[in-house]
Amino acid sequence: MTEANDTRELLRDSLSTLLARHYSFDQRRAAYGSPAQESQTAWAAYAELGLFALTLPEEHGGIPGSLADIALVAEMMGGAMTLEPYIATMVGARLIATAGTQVQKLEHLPAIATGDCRAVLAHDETQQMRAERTSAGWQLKGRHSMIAGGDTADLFITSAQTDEGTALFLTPAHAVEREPYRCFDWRGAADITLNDLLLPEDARLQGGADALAQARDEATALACADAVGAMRAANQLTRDHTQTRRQFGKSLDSFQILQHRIVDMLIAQELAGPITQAAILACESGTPQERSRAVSAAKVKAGDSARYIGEQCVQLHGGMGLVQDYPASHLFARLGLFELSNGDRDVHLERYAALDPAISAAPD
Amino acid sequence: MLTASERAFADEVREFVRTHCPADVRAKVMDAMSITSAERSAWHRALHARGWAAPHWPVEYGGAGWGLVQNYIFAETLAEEGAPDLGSFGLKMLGPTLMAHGTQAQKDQYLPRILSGEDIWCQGFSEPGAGSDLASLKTRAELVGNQWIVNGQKMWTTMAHEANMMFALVRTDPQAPKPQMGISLLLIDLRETPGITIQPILLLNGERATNEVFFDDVRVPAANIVGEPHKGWTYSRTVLGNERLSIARIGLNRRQLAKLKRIARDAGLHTVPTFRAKIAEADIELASLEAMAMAMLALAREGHAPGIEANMLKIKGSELQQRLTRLLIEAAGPQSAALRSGTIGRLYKSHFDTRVVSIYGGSNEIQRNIIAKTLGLGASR
Repeated sequence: MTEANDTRELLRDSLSTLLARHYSFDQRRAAYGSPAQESQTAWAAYAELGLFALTLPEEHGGIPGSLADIALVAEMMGGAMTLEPYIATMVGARLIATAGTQVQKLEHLPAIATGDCRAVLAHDETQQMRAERTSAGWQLKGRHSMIAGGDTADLFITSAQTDEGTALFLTPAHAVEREPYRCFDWRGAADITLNDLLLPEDARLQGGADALAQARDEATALACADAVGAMRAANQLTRDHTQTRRQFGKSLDSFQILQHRIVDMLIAQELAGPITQAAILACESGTPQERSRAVSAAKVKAGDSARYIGEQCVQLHGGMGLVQDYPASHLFARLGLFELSNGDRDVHLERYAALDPAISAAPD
Repeated sequence: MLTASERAFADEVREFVRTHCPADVRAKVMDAMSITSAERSAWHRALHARGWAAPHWPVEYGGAGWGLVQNYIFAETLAEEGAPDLGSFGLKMLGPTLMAHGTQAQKDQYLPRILSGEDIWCQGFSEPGAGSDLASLKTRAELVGNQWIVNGQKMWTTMAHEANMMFALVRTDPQAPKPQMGISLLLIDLRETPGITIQPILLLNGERATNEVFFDDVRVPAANIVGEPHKGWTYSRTVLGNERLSIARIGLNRRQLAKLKRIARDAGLHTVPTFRAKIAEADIELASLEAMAMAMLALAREGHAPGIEANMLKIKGSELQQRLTRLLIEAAGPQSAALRSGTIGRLYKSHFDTRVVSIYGGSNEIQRNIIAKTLGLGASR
């Protein structure tokens, strides 16, 4: 425990230095305005720090660690509002590591661990992707939308419905029709369309529905961690602003109504952090049911906190809260998109309720 | 998360409650019905015999010397099992204050009697004109010879009609430059001292839980002052600080949530999507609070005293408590307000009673003020 804590503190210090060096607000603006639309310098620095190798098998270039380490990275990146698809890359890497064949791991994990290959999960809830078995392997047809990091991915892990249930296929990016775009928070995503794409049998991962469920829960829990980081940043920014901005002859933070608002924003943050950590822990050591319940609880609570903090951050900044050259609006966008993605509030509330035997709809 | 030994300890406590506190008493507590003082005393004696009346007290005073983590598990398990609350005034508020600021004679005289339940204490803080603004209190005490002469009125004095002792904040120096600087903490024997009148304040629920207390030339021995004269305000911060730590409410809320699910299921509401979502929301709020409390305990294990996290838990814990009783009456419908026996019939009363939890112990607005001040808000002006 202590050793893990020490390692984590080291990780925190190193990443903090890295972000301070590469991710000031001005550097971030330069990055999203550049042709790559992200910071390639920062990506290289992440790789050098070993962030992509975290928790992957050592024989494939990985370094030991836990999902909590990746969550720490996600939280710090959320605070700095990094643009690169770190979470998507790690969820993809871990999915290959747990559900891939030995050959697939050998082929892809070393390059992922060094940051030279980006493999991301391509899945959306509409389930419009079908895979049919053919004599040569598999034929995939359909579409996935809003794939986080899909704009720069080298490899997709595509979910598809087959006659045997859900399957996952390694799909090279050059083989798909890709429509990349940017979202309101400046981060990249893509839709992909597969038109009867033929894939060999060995493109299929060993794991199916269970592995997909695990990966999606991990993605959601890590998104919560990213949001917690953004909440901290938004609260700090708001407090700094109210302590310096003066109206009616005094600083904003001397008005009691704003003091109480700031306190409520802080409470929202403090409620979101621990429940997110509980979800991360459940992803690693819980049963599938415990994991799903913990992740849904975190998503609902962190989502509520994110919306409240994002909106109040803008409100307390006044007009400055909407300006592109100031971080408040960017934090609002990141927190707002978080709430919508990975399953919204209603989806997770219902999943949480459905997994509770005390109120499940099934008869006694 | 609790460790294996902490879970084992919780099981031990649970077992103790189930064997030593009668089921009908626990059922009354769970249905928000009043219990008799005899029932409360019996439970106090059982805990005392086990050495658990005040386990948070140091061993030298008859406690178990437990740390924050163990106390938390103990208190939450008792609440979850429906054990009667022994009251905070003597065990949680005055006891630790006397240990820190009392004379040896005061400790020798009062602490054993608090522990055994022989003395029942009430708190004389609020007044008609001094609620959240407690420092504006006016009840006067003048030192004449070796006696304090007390005149004035206390209000919202919970338990005064059952108590035999009161610790009171009184104004001893009206000329002090700040209101906080002229206040002392006095120990007053309610039964043996002439000049004290206790009048009930009836709440809508028909219960006499709280009182007005009038002081008319009441003579209190000079030795009954706690610590130094005019420093009572500082000591009262210890008192209220001790109270706040006992307001996490996780166990109680867990119990109420389980009840909500039972009632919703009986009414068929568990399949109604809108109500099902409300249950899930409350459940998730409780899970968040519990995760936050666990994070606070993790810090406590490393020796960090809880700060504003405790104030936050008080705010959110009391809000959830109110939300759950509101959902309970919503599940039960108007029947919940019918004054007759049965679980459903007690729900509206419970909903009403619960309004007080965001008012007492420093209202939730005062809690927010405390957090804001700790954060340094408004310090620059």
